[in-house]
Amino acid sequence: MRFLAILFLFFITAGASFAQIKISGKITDKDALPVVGANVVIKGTIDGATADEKGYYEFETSKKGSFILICTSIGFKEFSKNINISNDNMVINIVMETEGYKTDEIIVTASSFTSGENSKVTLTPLEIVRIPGADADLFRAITTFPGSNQVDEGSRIAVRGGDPNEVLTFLDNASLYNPFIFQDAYNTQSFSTINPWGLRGINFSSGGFSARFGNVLSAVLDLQSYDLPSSNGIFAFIGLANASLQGAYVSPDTKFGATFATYQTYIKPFLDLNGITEDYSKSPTATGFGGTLVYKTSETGILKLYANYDHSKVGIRNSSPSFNGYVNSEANSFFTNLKYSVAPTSVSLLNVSASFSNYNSISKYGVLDNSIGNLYSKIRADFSTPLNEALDFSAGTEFEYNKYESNGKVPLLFYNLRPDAPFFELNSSKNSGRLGLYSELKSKISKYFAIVGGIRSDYYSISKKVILDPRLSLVFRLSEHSYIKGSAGIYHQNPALEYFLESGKTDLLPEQSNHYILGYEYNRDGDYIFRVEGYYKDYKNLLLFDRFFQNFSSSGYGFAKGVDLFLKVRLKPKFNGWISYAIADSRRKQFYATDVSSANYDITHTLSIVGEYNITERLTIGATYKYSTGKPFTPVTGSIFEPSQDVYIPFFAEVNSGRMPDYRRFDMNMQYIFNFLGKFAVAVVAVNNILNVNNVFEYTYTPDYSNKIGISYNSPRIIYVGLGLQF
Amino acid sequence: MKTKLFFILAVLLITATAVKADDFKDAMIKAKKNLTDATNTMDEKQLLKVRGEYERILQLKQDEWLVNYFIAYVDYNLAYTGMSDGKNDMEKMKKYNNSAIELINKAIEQKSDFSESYILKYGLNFNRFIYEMEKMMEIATTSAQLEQKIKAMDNDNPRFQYLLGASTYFTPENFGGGVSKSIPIFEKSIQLFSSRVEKEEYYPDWGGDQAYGYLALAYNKLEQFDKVKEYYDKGKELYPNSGFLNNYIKAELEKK
Repeated sequence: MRFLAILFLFFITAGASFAQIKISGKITDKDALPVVGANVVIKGTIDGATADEKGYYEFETSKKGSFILICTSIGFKEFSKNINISNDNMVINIVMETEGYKTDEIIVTASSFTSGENSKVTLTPLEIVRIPGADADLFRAITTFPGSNQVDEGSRIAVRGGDPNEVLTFLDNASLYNPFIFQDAYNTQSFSTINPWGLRGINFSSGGFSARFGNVLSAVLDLQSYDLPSSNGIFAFIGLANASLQGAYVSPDTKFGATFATYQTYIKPFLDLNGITEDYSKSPTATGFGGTLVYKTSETGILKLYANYDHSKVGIRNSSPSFNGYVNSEANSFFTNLKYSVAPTSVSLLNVSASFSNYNSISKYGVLDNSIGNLYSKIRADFSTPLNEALDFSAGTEFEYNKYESNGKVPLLFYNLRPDAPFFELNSSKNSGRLGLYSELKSKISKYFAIVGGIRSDYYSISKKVILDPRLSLVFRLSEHSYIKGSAGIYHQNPALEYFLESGKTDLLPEQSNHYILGYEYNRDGDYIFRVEGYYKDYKNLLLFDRFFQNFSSSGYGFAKGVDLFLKVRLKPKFNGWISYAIADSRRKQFYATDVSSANYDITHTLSIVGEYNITERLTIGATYKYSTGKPFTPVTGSIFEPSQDVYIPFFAEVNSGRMPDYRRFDMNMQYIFNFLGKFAVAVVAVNNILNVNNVFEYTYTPDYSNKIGISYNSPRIIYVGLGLQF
Repeated sequence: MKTKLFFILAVLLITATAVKADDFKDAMIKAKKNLTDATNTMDEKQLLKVRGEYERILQLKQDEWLVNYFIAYVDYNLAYTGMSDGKNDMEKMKKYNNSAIELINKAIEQKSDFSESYILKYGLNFNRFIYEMEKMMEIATTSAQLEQKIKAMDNDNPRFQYLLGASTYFTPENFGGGVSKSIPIFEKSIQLFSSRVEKEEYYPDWGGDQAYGYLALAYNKLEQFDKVKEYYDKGKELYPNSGFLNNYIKAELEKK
């Protein structure tokens, strides 16, 4: 009997639970707009509904008691509410909150321009190689960013009033000290040897950079090359002045990959077409080849060997006050890096690399007959791991060995370069070691605020000095697309070995710069970018030549301050363009200066305007306009004849008290993609310096220094054509 | 008496568990049917309703990897609602495609040996070309990696062959693709569809009508009109309600 009662009770309860209760309501966002397609459900059941186009939902349930009602929709935070379902129908209106900004990792570093896979990259690799006037050269492309200037018409760059040797190029964690050809060739443009197509990531930081980077004062160009190629192929390019061949192979199991790239310059047709009548003893030629071998050792392990060799030579007539003859120079550069990357756990990453580079050059001009050798080798390890959801940790160490040697004849008197002039024989070398350690913590305090604190320490074997550089960067997210960014930190760079060699001193201190940066950035998926940034840098321990003691000391100092502006608009798929403007004031008491004066690269105003327009899917036209204030130089104010040498000795004004004329250049290019014998082909036509402006970069003088002669590079207007073919 | 009571309660408990399993299966079958209807019309409201259905099925905490797969697949279709009828709503394409990628990654995390998830991810990755052209290199690398993985896991999956065919169809000849090269791949796909039996009624079975449709389109480009008719008619016979065949492919063929 009792059993029957229990059974009866069960059915009563079950029956009661089957009574349907209607739950309905309206789902809106904070602006009372309907959230179409939002899903409402009673947690743990499939009872629920989808909101209609007016945001209304309605469903029936047989459940009774306390439950949680959940509402979800893409782009909104999950809504949940405790509800008590009784016998009455219920109306529950829901207001959803937008989810915020979960998809993009915020980039903390100020002053950084990026290219690669991040959604907010400043420029893509394609945009870089297509910049008119940049000649597909990564470094020249970077000079269209604010704060960086071309040194002459070549590839080397000066950043925010600093010297070009204060910019460090980093490739796959190895330091790349000589990524140029023709860099020692007087009166000839230098070119970068880095192939932008081989890079999967480019990060250029013009200040306030991470503690990962040591022994650098002004800026860092951090490059990552591709690991495994994505497909097999060969690309050949033939142009008016150069030809190149590139190829890639990936094994069918995608465990092994290889790439190669080789080029040869031959500028005769280019000179002839452009009517360039420079007097060459050896016309500029360069050859280079290199490549990568990549092997996937495990699911996460990758072993990569990168190697590159370049050779360049040139002989060009040059007229100095004391000698008129050919400057002959020749340079060889070899760089290799072996890198192993592995993820020890699913979230951590370990990179170990060993690199070696050897650069040697020979320069001959009059009495000068000198060879320089520079050897670098480095081992480095970097480890990074998240400690928890809000904290990322990274640390690393590096040891770098550097040997510098200089051999041959060097003029004794700077004002007499004739072949029979007095000279001194150099046969000397110097080496050094640097041990660096760093550690960094990135804290994502909230999705609106992140901070990176780092510290690095370096020990330098010559001066036996240990330095400590604390650095701090922070970003505050104002809205989905806008940020306030700031950085402050201490940066050191040891004087080049040649100064230790020349001075015979061991107590030259690392030069120091303190960076303070504050800026605002609006970045809408890389399509619309606006950035304004102010900076102040003060310098200490700058290398100074003491005229009284005729020796170098570390007592120089100075400052740099300025504002950078950057505006980019990309209207897919037709238009892409950007404007960079920088105003800067950089003053130093450095090298031969007797007081604080304009720094060597104190360029007051710099403006770059770049635009590209896709006329059709196959035809693209682009233009670049660049303007900058002329760089400072030290004028000659007079001279005196020195009969024993039969030359004039110049008298100089205050260091950097003169200015070169302003620099202006307008370049255009056009690319056309088409089928050639059934293959993908691209044709390029470029006209540099369309306005035919005679930009002067240096001055030389008549033998008695009574007249100043401007030196400009080649013919002002240059036409270039080329054809690329994919096999 | 106590034994009897225990027995009855045990029966009730087993029944309840079975009911729950049936709830899942029934709900999945119902949602699948609604999904097929919605993809035939490509009606955004209908697709959103089905999305909601699958989201609610997640509450049953059963085979969540499969449910997440289907929500990702709904989003894959929703992404295209921004691009159909001459519309060019990149924001919508990006929103739903990115959501689908997030969900399919979750599904793979939950069950890493379900080849269908990688196949859908392959299709989603391909869509990124539409709105993230600047990441061309990264997309191509991911695509090559997924292709290798799927070939090793389930090369004879008709949906994979269909997507492979579509990827070849849209890739220019100069880059190793082209209409002619896509034809044998689509043909392989429809052959595989004809013998394919899914493990469960509510498992993924999409793609057959698309394979027929693209095959007809490919032959149309090569102006082999007898083949166009053959494959279009065969597709219509097998998938009479296919919106893809009845609307998109029909309109494309009529342009000729």
